[in-house]
Amino acid sequence: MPLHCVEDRRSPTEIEEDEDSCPSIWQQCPDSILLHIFSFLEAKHLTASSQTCKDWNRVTNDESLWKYLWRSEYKRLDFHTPIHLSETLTDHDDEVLHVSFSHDGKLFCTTSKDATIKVWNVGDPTTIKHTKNFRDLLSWDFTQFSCFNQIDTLLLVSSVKTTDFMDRRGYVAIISLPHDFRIIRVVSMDPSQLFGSWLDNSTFLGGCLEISLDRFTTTVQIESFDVPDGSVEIKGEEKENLPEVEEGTGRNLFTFCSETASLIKFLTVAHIPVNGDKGPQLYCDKCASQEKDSNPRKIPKRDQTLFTSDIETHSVKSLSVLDGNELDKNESASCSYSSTSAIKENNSLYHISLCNQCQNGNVNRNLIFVTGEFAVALHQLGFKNVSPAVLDLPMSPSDESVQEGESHMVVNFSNNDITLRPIRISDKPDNLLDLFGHVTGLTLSNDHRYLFLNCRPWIGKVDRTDPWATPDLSPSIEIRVIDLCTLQDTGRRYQGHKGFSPSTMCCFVFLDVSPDYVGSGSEDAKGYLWDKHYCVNLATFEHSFGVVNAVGFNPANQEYLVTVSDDCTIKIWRSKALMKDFGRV
Amino acid sequence: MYKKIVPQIKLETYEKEVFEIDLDIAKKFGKLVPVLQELLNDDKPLTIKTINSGTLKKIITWCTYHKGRSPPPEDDDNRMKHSTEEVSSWDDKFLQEDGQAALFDLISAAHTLDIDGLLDVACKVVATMIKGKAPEEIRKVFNIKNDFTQQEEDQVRKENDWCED
Repeated sequence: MPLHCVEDRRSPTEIEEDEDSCPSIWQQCPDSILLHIFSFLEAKHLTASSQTCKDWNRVTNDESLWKYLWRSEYKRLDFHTPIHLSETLTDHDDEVLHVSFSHDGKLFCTTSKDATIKVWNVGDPTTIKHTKNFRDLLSWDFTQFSCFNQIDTLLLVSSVKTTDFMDRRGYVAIISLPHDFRIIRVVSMDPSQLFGSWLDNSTFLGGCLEISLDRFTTTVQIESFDVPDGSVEIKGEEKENLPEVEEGTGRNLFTFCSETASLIKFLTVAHIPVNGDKGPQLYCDKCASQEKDSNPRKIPKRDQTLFTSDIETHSVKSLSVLDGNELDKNESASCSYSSTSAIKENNSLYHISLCNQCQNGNVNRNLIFVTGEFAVALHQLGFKNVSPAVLDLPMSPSDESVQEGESHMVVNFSNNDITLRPIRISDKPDNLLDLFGHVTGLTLSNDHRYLFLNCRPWIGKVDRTDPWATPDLSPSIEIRVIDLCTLQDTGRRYQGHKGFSPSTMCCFVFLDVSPDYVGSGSEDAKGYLWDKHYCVNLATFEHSFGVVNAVGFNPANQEYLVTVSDDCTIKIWRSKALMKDFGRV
Repeated sequence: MYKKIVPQIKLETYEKEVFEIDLDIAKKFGKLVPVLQELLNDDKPLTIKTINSGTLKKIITWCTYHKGRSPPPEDDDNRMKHSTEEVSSWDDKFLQEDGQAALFDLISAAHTLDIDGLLDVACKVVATMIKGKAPEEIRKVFNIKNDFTQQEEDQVRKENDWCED
């Protein structure tokens, strides 16, 4: 703009003096300046700016801004999408089952039916950093799953082992990275498909299974285990000094009983963002809507068991009867409790602590898992708030959660003895979401706002009165996206991948998400890649046979992707841009 | 003792205050580059009525600080990746410490004088203030008066709700 154009205007600082009557300086701003500012915005910010006033509306609709966005979008899809095979790693001797990245994106870990874990350095080329054979060390049959803690100092590895008394026992080993990948803790975890999860940087979750012989019930206890900082001593040149395998040493957080012998799988911890979003806040609705004070208070079940001995006075209405889309937003929490005044008092205490938590961290820590209320075939997502109060429980919580005088016969999985154990009071999930299908894998978006899950819908008629029914599963998997702030299915679907295993088999197809992409394994020897925003399939990743069990995006660079398969290989896929950097194009 | 001669030019601000500016800083003012030689020879200051003294002082400080620091390459990609990280914490603090009006003046002056690096970084700071906000929040931050009629506002919302998260 030539100088004389602006000389006629008064100095902006003068305009500023009379703030109320004058429109904002930003409203009177020359178009060229606004255009310059807006050129640094993405589409969603432009459309929001467009709704503020007439001037901004006019300028945000300027073609130049949108042309630019389209150009960058084309470039992303063509140049920055990881679809080029760059390496094939053949170091595993058997099917590769899972891949997980460290949060800094420098390492990834693969598990396999050869019972090893291999930790890889991300680089060009990708190199092996560490390998550990759990068949030699602990007689495990295979390693199933792994995940790093948030600060990448500890690695959780879960596995399956056939014992004299039980077909598939699960175990978790904790490996310390700063201590040269030394195993520092091994605990039993049943059922094995819980996989284990990190609650925070020094606490992991596992489980303990009780099968009652006289009451025909199954009980899964979710347990937490601490890995205190500096608990490891390096003992000179000693060989791998294995810790003892621990049985039932965890702190019981929740107890879930089932009369239909259904279990729990895919234990996941989500730190759900609480504010800054419209829509109901399911987990801390009081923070979001103070005006709704007249509503009956909703409190986590756990607090009830803490503060009252008579849980029967509370009716729990489960979500399972509702269609996902019919959730009434005002009745945000799907469990409504009739609470006594005594509980209310305690509840408000609880609320204060929760609010503090919200204000401090703006997150709500929730346990997410797959469960089944009426059938052996697991079909529901369970949600349970992990309030700070739960973690303050004493290590041995038996006094509070055990019903007086009642006990049942339980098989001890480590020696096959039958023992008499007290019956624990069951916790109920805070929320249940019925999926009418079989979950083969789930993962969280980076901000923990959305849950992405691989689901094979039930097909044919399903007899909901028969707990032993194993409904047929559709051969088409679909990825569903659940908004964790509202617990509603967003309706978003990513489709095309296949599943052929019957529901009675344990078969997992893991998926992963990055800021712009969604990837999943599939049982047709391919991995699949979708654009996260457009939900369209962008590419498939070919393996030679069997199942592609998992895909993983490098969290530090979504242009680097790993697929692992039954064909014993790990394949690394890079974008054209990365390939060019390596001089491979 | 010889006085070290640093070539300088003179600029007069809105308040009629005259500033002497070192040539190597004045070179950053794209608009002045074609007339620099003229200004060096001329003892009479160039008057720029749209820039006040406070703003010019800030511009000089900014240019002095960034002298010798090479500006980030401004290619298409850089322009596209407009993350907040790109604005250094020094810049962020420097640009925001005197409030929005001063920031606006600075942008306006950087635009008038054609100081690329400053204009980009200051606009990025404003863009960051817009990001992630709902229309009503943006109005509040920038004191923007909603001049839509109810009908217009409904219409505009309808046109733009496709892009929400």
